[in-house]
Amino acid sequence: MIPLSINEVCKEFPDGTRALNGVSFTINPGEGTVLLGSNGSGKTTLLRCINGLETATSGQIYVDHIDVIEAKRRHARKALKRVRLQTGMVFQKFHLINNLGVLQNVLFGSLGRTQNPMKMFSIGAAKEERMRAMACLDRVGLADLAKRRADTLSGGQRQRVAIARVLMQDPQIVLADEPIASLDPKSGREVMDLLWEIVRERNLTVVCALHQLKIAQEYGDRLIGLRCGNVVMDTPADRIDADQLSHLYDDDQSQSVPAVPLEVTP
Amino acid sequence: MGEQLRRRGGGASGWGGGGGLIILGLFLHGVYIAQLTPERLLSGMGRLGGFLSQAIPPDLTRASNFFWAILVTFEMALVGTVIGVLLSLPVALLASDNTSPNRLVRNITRNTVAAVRTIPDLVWALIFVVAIGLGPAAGILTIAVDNLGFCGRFFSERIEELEPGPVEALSSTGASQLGIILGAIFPCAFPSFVATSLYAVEKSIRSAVVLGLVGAGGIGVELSTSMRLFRYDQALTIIVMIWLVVTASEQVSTQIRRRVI
Ligand SMILES: Nc1ncnc2c1ncn2[C@@H]1O[C@H](COP(=O)(O)OP(=O)(O)OP(=O)(O)O)[C@@H](O)[C@H]1O
Ligand SMILES: [Mg+2]
Repeated sequence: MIPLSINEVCKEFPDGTRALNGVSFTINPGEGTVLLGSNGSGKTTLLRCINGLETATSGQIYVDHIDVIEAKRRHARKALKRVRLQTGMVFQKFHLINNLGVLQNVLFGSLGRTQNPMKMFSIGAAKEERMRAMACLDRVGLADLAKRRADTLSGGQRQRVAIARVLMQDPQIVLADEPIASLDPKSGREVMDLLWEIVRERNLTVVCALHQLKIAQEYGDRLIGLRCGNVVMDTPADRIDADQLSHLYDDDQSQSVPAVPLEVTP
Repeated sequence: MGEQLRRRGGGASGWGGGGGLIILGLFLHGVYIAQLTPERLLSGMGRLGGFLSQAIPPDLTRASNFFWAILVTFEMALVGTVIGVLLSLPVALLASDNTSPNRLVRNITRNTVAAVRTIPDLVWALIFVVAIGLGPAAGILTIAVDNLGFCGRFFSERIEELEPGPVEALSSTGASQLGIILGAIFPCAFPSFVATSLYAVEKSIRSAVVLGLVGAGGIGVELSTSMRLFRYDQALTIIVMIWLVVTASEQVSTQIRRRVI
């Protein structure tokens, strides 16, 4: 159980775009947090900064008491690796290795712990590791597709494989960036159900960016709203207030057209 | 305003005109030194007829020698290409924006590869023949270096075009650089690497034939000997055998390409 705390994080891209303007919050271990905010509000950037895929310009992000930003800036590989081993990512576009097999993709979840290049691939991997990858695939209900090439799967199946890869990685924190935005409503729900079941049964912390308010309220314990790189809302999911929500998607913002039609429950 | 335009236009056409004149001059001089007069062409046709009449029927008495020599040519191409392709993999990683350890290494590698590529393979062959003597070893080294320049560049371009997604997915798990290269970069670029390598083999077989002419081993040596001894009937046998081998190799590589991609 490791804490995640974010303090005054700013991110300015080289082209001058300010994506984050002093974001602060602390997430308790085991908490299911949903990040809301219109297009361009900084959700993706924030999640990428937590895992160190992006380097924040200033502030602190503590994962397991390691400052990710500091580690990135000083090129401290060991510290960064410790952070990454504990933060699994799920992407909107799945990001599987398309021309490799499903089981191989799941096996890559443990790449952070594998030094020997021969053991990275399913032919050379230890039997226990292969069995574990198989078990992860089984958990997401795709054990029978283990031998298929990843690019022969449907979107929903691919996202399940990506979740199995995170299971294989076995992190304490899951960062999901619009995991269901490329899926139809039914597959989207199935994937959300699966993700949340796994997070709950393993008692993981999850931060999930979403555009569907209804789903956010249904699954999240806590909703954090971003707007132009600022936190403008931070409430328990059951105490959400319509004013704050409308402020989140106000149209005085430059790019406020959400990708998915919002379903605001009255 | 009008004057300015006219002057600028005049400047541009002056430049273009000057360049055009130089190129026209070079072209005319080229035609002049070639001395391609109708009489020469006609007498050339006549001698070509002479060549053919001596070449047909082809002399098969030394066909088994030629067969071995052509096998050596093929093997030179194959071994040289494999070495070149294997060397190109690390070189391409060092030369690509997204995999190079830093910009200095990238620029040095990239410029070296570009320099290697500018030198024609026959020149490499002459250098290697001087360095390690006549024979297939010089041919193999030549083909390896030639393919390093060719594949190094194409592999690197392919690596730079890869989508960042899969690489980021593996980085995000804490994978090492080696893990990312073996797990995401090579698999994603594999079909294109195979296609480029097959093309490199085809290209190398043709160039390996020519390399023999400067003493770098293989069938080219036999061909130049036959020509110099006026044994056109043997030369024709060699030419037909080269045609067969090149065609067969192209067929095989088409089959492999179809299966992999
Ligand atoms: N690599 C980049 N270079 C420059 N600007 C960037 C880059 N990535 C993101 N941005 C900018 O940062 C801001 C925040 O983008 P981000 O992708 O984090 O938003 P988001 O909340 O994830 O939006 P969406 O809902 O559309 O996914 C945007 O203005 C975007 O244009
Ligand atoms: Mg986003």
